[in-house]
Amino acid sequence: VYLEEKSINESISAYYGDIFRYSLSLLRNYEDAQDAVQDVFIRFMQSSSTFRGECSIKTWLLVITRNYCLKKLSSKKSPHITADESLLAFYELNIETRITLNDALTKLSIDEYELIYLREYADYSYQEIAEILGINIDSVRMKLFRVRKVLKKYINEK
Amino acid sequence: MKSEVMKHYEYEINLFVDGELSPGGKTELFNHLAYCEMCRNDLEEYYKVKNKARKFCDDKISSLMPHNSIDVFKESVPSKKSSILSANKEITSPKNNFYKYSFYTAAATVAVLSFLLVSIKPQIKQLTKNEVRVDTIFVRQEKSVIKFVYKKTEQPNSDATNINMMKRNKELYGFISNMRTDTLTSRDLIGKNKESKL
Repeated sequence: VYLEEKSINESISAYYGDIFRYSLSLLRNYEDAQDAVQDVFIRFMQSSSTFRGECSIKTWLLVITRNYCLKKLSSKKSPHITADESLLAFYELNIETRITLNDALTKLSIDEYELIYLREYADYSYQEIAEILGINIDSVRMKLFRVRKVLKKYINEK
Repeated sequence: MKSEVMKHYEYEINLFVDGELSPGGKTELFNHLAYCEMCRNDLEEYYKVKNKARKFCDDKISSLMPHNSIDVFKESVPSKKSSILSANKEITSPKNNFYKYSFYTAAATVAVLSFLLVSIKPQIKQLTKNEVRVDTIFVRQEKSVIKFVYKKTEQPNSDATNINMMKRNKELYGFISNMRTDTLTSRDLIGKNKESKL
């Protein structure tokens, strides 16, 4: 499928926000997310001739974003420690402290958090999530179920 | 004992809160929820998890963005709908300009014409008792005048009488031409005729 320059420009302006927020949720750094957006759109323009039309442009852009962000995360030698993580370390020392749902959410792995983000925040359907993550739709169902089941344990803790 | 045997629908509830459960599955779930309190609690809890997770993601994104950059980000990044709409506007506006202007011109013309049609009416003058329509009287008088003039011209002439006749004729034609423009009463006409006959 040949993408015209006009549709490329439209896609960039339409999905800029989605790409930025997805990058931000994965990289957890504002500047890194900005870099990611630029890099993703450069890649998108360079490889627009290879777009086969099997999925939507939006999904394709999100796949490029995901690949970029995961690569960026793996290349980082020392993981970026956020305030939440230091807080969790504090909780681990104090066993008596009850873990709330927010704490449980911060404890999620990057894959689990990504799944929650795509479903709850970005509001993508299971089919779209499956396309972005490159997995089966049944796997999406099952993974989301497992994550929520874990989170459900902490729902009544305040 | 019963709850151990009974099948619970936790997995289906998870799909239901995401709107991903099939219509048949929904019916089955609702039938089950009618008598299973445990699953009703699960449904409530899954909704809570979903809402809290959404809020958590929202807070997380907001906290990751520099405080002063949020507005800039919002300005520079239009929402999906508005950006698509503006893109569509950019595409369609050059093509639609001609149609747009022609439509406005046509609408303005129709408005002006309809205004003229309503506002400009033929002025119907109400005649009083003593007034008559000039054109009708004019035709009658014209005939009589022509006859009168013809009779006079038939008479054997002398130079003096011819000059007098020509003067009278002039007066009559002047009178007739005045009749075309003035509103006259029947009295005026009778008076004038009398004078002209004299």
